Amino acid sequence: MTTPLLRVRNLHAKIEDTPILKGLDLDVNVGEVHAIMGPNGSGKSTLGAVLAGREEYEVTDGEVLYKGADLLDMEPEERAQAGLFLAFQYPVEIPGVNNAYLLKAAVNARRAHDGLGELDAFEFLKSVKANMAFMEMDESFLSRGVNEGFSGGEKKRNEILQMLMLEPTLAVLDETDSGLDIDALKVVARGVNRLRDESRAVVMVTHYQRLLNYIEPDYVHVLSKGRIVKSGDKTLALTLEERGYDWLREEAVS
Amino acid sequence: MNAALASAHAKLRRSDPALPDQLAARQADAFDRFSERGYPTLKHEGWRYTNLRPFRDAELLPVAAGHAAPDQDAEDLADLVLTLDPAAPAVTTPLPNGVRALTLRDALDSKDPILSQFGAIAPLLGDALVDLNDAFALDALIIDVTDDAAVSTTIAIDWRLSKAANELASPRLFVHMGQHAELSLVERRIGRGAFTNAVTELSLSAGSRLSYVDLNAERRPSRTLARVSARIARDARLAAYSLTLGGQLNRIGTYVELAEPGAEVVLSGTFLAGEGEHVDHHTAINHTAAHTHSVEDYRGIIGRAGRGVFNGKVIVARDSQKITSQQSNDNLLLDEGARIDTKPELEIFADDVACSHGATIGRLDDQALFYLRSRGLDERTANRVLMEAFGKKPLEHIPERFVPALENRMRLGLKRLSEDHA
Repeated sequence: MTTPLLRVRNLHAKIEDTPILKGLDLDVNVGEVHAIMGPNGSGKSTLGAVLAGREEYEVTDGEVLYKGADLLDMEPEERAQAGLFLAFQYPVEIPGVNNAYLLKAAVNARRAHDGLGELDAFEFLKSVKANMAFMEMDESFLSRGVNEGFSGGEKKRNEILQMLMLEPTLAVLDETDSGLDIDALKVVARGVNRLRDESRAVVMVTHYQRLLNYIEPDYVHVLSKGRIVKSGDKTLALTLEERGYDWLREEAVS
Repeated sequence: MNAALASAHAKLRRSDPALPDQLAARQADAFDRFSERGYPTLKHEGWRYTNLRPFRDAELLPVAAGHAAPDQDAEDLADLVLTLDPAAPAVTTPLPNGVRALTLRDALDSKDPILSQFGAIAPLLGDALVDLNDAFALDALIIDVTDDAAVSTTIAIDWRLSKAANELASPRLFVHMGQHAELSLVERRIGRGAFTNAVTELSLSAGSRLSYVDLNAERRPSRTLARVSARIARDARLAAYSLTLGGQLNRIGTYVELAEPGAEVVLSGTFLAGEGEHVDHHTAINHTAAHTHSVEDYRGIIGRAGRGVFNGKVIVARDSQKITSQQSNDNLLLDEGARIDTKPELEIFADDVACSHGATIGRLDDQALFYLRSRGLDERTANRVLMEAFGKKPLEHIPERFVPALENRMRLGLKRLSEDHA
């Protein structure tokens, strides 16, 4: 029995005085893609925020082990350097910090953690250009400020570009599909699928089944009131699409 | 009146037998005017936040403002560093075509026609500090760019300031741009000057273009008063940028007269102030002619117990119609104890004008900070990256030639500022 890449046990978290996660359990192994679905307010985004280390959320109970280590004890940058990547639902605009700079600094921070030297300028550029072409992004984005003036779809592509460059061990996508038209969704999905292999795992938080047509999950979990109330394979998502979430609430109560 | 200054002034003549009579007379008149008016105090307009007591209380000893030998440090900023031989002040650097550089003493000796313009601009909107400079500037540097000379060589002027505790240096520069002349110029104040009272005059003839960078790279314990005064004629344009990295007391006053239609000015700057530092930018732009345009863009980054001041005055005379003027001053406070006083001051007497102004005071954006950290940048680096991004925006107003070198210096300044917080 191998240790899971990510083990979440009895996780409780609150923001200000409002408890959001109330005993969440989740195991994610390398090679797996998990989808976490649920109605608004069920705690989907909070899970991503807690995993990434947002300070506004206070963990009141439970534990999260990443590669066997206490994730909650790590600074956000340590998590990133150790291969955890969160694609934000609303990526922030940072005028004056150029995209190329951030990509390079991020890649090198991760390499430094792994005991590797800095990527040389030529290798970096080659890799970033290839990934941008794959994400159907114009190279002019490199010299622009991070997400500055980007459309919603461009911001999401940029998140996936960063992900491809960083090659994370665990990628958490927080509603990366929301607000995307079908073409952008396909590009984003292609980016995620490209990363998919036996050494990595993906956790997708989503409101819509649509994304799962393009990124086929191994497991689907339904989150409700801060806990996972049902887990299954991809067919669960289809059931949810047909029946909504209400039947689960009743099932959970009964 | 400060007795030490008076006695220093009395000795000037005796200590320098070579002092030309005309210069001595200038100094004497200026000293009389200064004696009458004295240092500005908190009660004077424009001096509410900056107390010159350290100047008043010190027993100042005026010394010559020397010119630094070229150092490696300037290479990235300029193609040519102007040097004077301090022993026998004369410009020894070979100059590009169309540029003349001479000392005030040379000009007096040869009765150079440029003298008719020297000293005519600084007294506009001037206070007694110009008189103080006139009283003790032992020489001055004059740069004259002839009509139609488009100078592609970037020139640096380095003032080497004294380190002794009570010495007062009075650098003085006069730049004359002939009609349709073009030049990029950097003026730097180097070393830990104890006390400095600098005056720079920029005279832009019709159609000329000047890019001017003013670099104050000192920190504590230097106390620097700098005044940059410019008069801009028809269709001429000045783009000025000032980088100030700190200083126990650093006051930069920039005064511009847009004297004829089509004249334009862009004043921009970035200033940092850390613990025990005080940086004050006062600007005044006087639109005395119609169809004149001004832009101001200053950013301040204030660290622990640092103090920043920005005051931007814009004056539009009654008959100066079709004016545009934009002013912005954005500030970043890094700490609870940091303080900035920022104030736009518009005195508009014409009616067909478009003037805007805005000031902001904020902190580093937590969301942006988290975003960078979530990509693996450690907290200190993420902080620094955001400060740099904030501070370098005004650089967009000056030629690209200067940008990398100024960014480097700003980066070092910010590094020191964040070390205050470590």
